[in-house]
Amino acid sequence: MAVGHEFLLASPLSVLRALARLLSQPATYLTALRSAGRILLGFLSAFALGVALAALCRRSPLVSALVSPLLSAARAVPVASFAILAILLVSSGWLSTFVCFVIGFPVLFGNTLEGLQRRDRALSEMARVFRAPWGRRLLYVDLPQLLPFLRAGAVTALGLCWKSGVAAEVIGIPRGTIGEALYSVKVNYNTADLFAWTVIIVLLNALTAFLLRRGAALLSGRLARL
Amino acid sequence: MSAIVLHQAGRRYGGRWALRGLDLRVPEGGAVCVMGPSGCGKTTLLRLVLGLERPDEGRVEAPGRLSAVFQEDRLLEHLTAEGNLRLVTGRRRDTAAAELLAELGLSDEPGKPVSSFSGGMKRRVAIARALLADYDALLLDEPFKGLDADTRERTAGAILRLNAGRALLMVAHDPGEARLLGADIVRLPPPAEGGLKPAG
Repeated sequence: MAVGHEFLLASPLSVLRALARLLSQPATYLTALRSAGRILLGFLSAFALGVALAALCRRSPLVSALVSPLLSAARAVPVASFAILAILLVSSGWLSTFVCFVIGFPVLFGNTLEGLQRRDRALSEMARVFRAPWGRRLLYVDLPQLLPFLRAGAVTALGLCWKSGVAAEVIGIPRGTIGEALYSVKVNYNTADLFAWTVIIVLLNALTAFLLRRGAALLSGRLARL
Repeated sequence: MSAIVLHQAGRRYGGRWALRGLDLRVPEGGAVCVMGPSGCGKTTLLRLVLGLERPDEGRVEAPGRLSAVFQEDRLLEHLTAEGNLRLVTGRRRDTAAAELLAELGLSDEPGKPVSSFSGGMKRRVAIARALLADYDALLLDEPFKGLDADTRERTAGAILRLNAGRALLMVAHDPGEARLLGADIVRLPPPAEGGLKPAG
């Protein structure tokens, strides 16, 4: 009988102690930074390419027809399958970046495309009639309409990137990352550290999502003062 | 010389002709007001001239640089009146924009988004935007919709002054609006009939 035994499930107090210990070690911050850098690079790549491809698909039905089935398939493929396949293509150090890109890309692409499709056609016509330059059209007409879709897609994709990125690190075990720390926790059955690292991952996700929302709010305010 | 020419122009949506066999000329510096019952193709006519639709038959000629007040205001609701004008003018005409907004009675609203404006105020912003654009012919779709008599007169004065020497094609239900802008009236027949009726 193992109920109440810390070997299987750590008590909240043990988790808090483990969290305090981890937060007092400079190595924890380096580990978190290393993972965050790779995960956010994958997210930002997904953002840039998702937006660019959605814009291309909006203009070209042929590209849209080619891309849509691939993205539907990508949404259904498990993270583990991507990660194991990706180990063959990229070094374990960049595995989380690759997986974050693959996981975040369909979300950001889909949201951007939906935003582009839902733009007010009457406003686009108006800007065309007045021959507003491309840059001004983007800032005055398109971006304010697109921003809510980009923000929602980015926040969702960011959460998925943190989950899948850390999962990919656990599979690839790159040195000095959160994934490696979680892997060693698994080997040692150290559930207090497991929960402590989980709290750190949740906090990192919350912090980056907060910064993302704040950036979007600042941009939205700036666009309203044009 | 005519700035806007429609020759036997027609536009069909599905199997139904919204407009057919229309001949119309608006000379440079001239003004024409198209009137007719709802559904007779007045807005379609403006869309053809603006190049937003292609005629299914006949020919439409118009200058490359047009300006318009649409049937709906088509304003950027999150922006101020000045911001809406800047979409068209950039910042190079901020002084002229401020003067025109003041002339149209909109100078008391700095910093407020147009989403907080009344219908009449939004209409005047749409008119100011059209007048400040660089253009050779102006198209107005029910421009005085939602404006009281005094504001109509003041707004018409601004249109006549700033549009001087350029072609004006407008759509209205009230002949009084055509008179305000000195426009010749052309009546379109009801949707079921053919041909174009001259003003009575």
